Parts: sequence; C-alpha cells; structure tokens
Amino acid sequence: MSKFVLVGVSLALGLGAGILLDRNVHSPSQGSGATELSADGVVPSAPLQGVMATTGSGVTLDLAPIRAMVREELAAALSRAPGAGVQAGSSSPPAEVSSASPQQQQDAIQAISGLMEGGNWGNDERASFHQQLGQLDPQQREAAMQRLVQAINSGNLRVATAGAPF
Amino acid sequence: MNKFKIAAAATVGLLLQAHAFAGVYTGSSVTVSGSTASGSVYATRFSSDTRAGIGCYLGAYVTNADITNTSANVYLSCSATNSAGTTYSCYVNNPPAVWVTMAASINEVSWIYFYGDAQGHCQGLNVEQNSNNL
Repeated sequence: MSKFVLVGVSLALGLGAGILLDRNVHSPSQGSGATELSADGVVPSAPLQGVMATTGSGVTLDLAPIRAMVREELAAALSRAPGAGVQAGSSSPPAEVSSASPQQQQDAIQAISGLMEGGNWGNDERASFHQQLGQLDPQQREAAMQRLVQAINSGNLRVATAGAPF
Repeated sequence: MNKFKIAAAATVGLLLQAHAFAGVYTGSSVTVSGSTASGSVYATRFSSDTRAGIGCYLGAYVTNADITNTSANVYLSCSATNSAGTTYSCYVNNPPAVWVTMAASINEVSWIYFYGDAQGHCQGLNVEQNSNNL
C-alpha cells in the first residue's frame, strides 16, 4: 500500500514540476515591463541584464544577449590569437620573429629603397631584393613587396629580369 | 633525279609536320588589362615580339639566413608583360597550398590567368594544362 502512495506522490510531483518547467520554457521572453532578476532574486550584473527576465511567475532566458556575449568573447579571443589581423587572401603565416636587429632591418629597408630608386629592375636587383627580405619581419616584408609590385604595375619601375621580377 | 628526291623529301617533311601539329590550337599571347593578366606559355614564348612573358614564381627563405629556423617563408608572385611592355604583377605571402601546387604545375602547355587588387595582392589564379595551348 505504501508503495502505491509513494508512486502516486512521485507522479504528482513529477507532473507538477513538468508543468512548471514547461511554462517557463514556452512563456514569452520579450514581455513588456519584465523585471530582470537573477535566479536568487538579486538584480543581475550588467552583462547578465537582459539575459534573464521574469514574466509573471516564470523566469525566462533570452538567448539573444547570450549569443551576443558569446560573439563578443569569441571576437576578443580571436583578436588575441597569434596571426590575428593577417590580410584576407593569405593563409596563416607561421609564427615568426625576425632575429635581425632593428638596425639590420632598417638597413634592409634602405637597401630595398635603393634598389627601386634606380628605376630599373633587373636580375641583380631581384637577387638582392630576395636577400634583403630575410632580414625583415612580416609587416616590413609585406610593405616592401607591396611597394615593389605597385612600382612595377604603375610603370615606375622598368622590369628587365630574365623571368619573373620577384 | 636529285632534284626530284629533294622535292619528294621536302614534301614528305611538310606532311609530317602538318600531322605533328594537328589538333585544336587556341594558344594566346599575353593580355594585361587593369589588375588581370592571362596568356599561354607556349604562344608567348614563340610569339614574334621580344617583350611578352608570363609566369609565376615561388620563393622560399628563412629569416636571417637561419637554416635551423624551420618556419620557412613562402611567397608566390605572378607576372605578365604584354607585347606593348605593360606589366602586371601580384603576389601572395604564405599562399594556400593549392596555389603552390598550381604554380608548380605550370609548363609549356599551360594557360595562366591571374588577377589581384590595387595593392598587388593576388586574389585569383587559374592554370589550365591543355593540348590546345601547344
């Protein structure tokens, strides 16, 4: 007999909990004038405001702010990742730190400028350019290559290499 | 009699040559238009002008000539010059592996088409290997 009572009470509790949860899940989350409270009745911190809201007797979850927070966190994490900010169209470069000193890098930049100032881009200039590239860090290298290709495409630099200019 | 033999040999030679070059040929010399360029390697090489050229270059080097540095830098550059001397070049630092494969596959039966942005970054590369180009 006591088993029947226990089963009956359990069923009643289960049904009651189910109905309550069902109301919470399906109740409208954008109710006007909803009071924002955390589960323990405390006003939530700023990031959580707008996420949790009570409508009538139920506590609702608004997924939009959560998604926005996740997007913000992912964006922040990605911006901190190595290789962030690499231009579109190029694959992720390997982590690289130039062991050349700042002075060596500056010398390389000046050497490349000198190569281009001649107005003629031949095999010697190309070979020297390749050697100087190894002294530069990725940003400097990108700038040097961009400057060279723009000079070639604009016609300011006459290409006289046997084959590709760079 | 000798004249007859020579004429016969020349005729046979011409016929054999015609046979060797049978098939569709659509090779094209270099075209440069804005930030795009295209052309067939074979047609460009054997064109009558002495300026035109087209191809891609793969470069690799280690930073500061440190051969123990295994993170070699790779770049790809493609360049084309038409018969008027107009050149368009573009490049990609650390290009996708498929681009490297494509550039490495270029040979005399290739037709190449590439384009880039105003800064000279390659944005597209197409390589066709086809008997049409030979």
